[in-house]
Amino acid sequence: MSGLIDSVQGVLGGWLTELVIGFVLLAVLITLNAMFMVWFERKVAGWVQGRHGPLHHGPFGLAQTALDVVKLLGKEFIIPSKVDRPVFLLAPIIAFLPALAILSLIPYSADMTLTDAQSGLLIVFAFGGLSLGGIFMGGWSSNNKYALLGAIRAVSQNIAYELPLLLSAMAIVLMSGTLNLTEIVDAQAGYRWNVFFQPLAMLIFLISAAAETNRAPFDIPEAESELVAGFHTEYPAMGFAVFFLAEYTYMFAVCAIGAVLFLGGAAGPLLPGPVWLLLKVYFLLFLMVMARWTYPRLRFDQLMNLAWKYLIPLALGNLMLTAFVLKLVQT
Amino acid sequence: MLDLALGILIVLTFAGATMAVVLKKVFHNLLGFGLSLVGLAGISLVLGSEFVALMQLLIFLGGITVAMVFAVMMSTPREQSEEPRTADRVAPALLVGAGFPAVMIALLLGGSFPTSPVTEELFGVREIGLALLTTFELPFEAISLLLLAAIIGAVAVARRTRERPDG
Repeated sequence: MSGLIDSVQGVLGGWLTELVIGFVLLAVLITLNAMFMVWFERKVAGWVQGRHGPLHHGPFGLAQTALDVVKLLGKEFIIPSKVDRPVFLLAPIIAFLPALAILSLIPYSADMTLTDAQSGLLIVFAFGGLSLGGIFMGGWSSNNKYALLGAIRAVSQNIAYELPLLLSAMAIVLMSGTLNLTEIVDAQAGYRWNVFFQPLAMLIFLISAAAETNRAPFDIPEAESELVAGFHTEYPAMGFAVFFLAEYTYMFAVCAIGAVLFLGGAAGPLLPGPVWLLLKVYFLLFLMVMARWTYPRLRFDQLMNLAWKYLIPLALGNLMLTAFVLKLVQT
Repeated sequence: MLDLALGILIVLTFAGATMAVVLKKVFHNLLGFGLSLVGLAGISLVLGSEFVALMQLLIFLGGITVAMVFAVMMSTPREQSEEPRTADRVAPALLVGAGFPAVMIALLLGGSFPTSPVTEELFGVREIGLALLTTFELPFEAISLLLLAAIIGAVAVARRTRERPDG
């Protein structure tokens, strides 16, 4: 393995090699995570509803998702005749790419970060907003009422929930005095995890994160009982699969940021850092999956009310209280 | 390497700006506008101000462009979005489009710029935050007053339409 790395290094030079290796690892992580999450979600859904979930392919049905991907790859890529072709084809890619940038910023352990940026948290939010572009490009270019409605819903929902997401994370920034994700993790050393000091911020963060990733109970952009499949109604085969991949990658990314901000990142006893981070991430993902199968979908006005009337004032109040207490402690 | 990146980004910015003006569908114009904003953010990043680049993405792309997209989606159905290009529309557009850069270029050529090397410490998040709340406190507060007025105005407008009987 190290021989391979050396020969790659010879061709490309130092930092480019790091970049290539990092992105290959991220690609592996993204693929495995999506395949695992689809299986995991179906298993949890089965468990909640007293069923078995996937069973037949591989142990515990683990190979089911891989086979589904093969099926999707084999399907014909039908492009409807009246779509806006270039935009239609670009949309899934634009929806997916920012997720890659976000994953490259996460400190997987104390010394395992692909990009250690000084304003890492801001970069995460900036790129998180970009993925919305892919969704509305897909919805608009499809030339389909349901797709357009889904995209409009996605845009308004994202505008509303971006605010509480940012505001709840800002409370953590105030406490640790930095936007660098590695330093935020360091500030929680010795099990002084932010979740113990900022439980409200974490709750707001998780709710807004579920809404930002269009997860049930906030999945009105793709509410199947009203909008067929929402913004990706017209997408065939792999186009649909890429949107799906983007959704699961964002769920992972958002939960990883949640683990970094509130659960001490990769810190933990005995096991190595990345294992702890993954355990925390999948714990948060489990909460998200449970929420999907426990709560009914919100109506659109309820969704807006929740954000503007409850989450944003709560997050603002929490931020002011944090600033006040911090000033008291300092003086 | 940085020069190459800068070159690519400048081409990207101008390509986006051209798309925003030349293409005939409103939605394509918006996408071009977004592309040129991404290019601008990249230029600030290459030139050493991470913070400005991120604000460019967060506010202009994540906020303003999304709001514009929202407005387009709500107002014009796709079929009607190709408007004819007549002389009485092109002329004022040309006037504004040429006049604004002319003024800006005149100002840029007349003004002087600090030539000391710009470092991250000068434009980091902490430094900009401190500067906004100490040296530039008054303009900062004035801007927030302006935004508050805009918000109240928006609420007032929205209220009026809501009270209209079954509109």
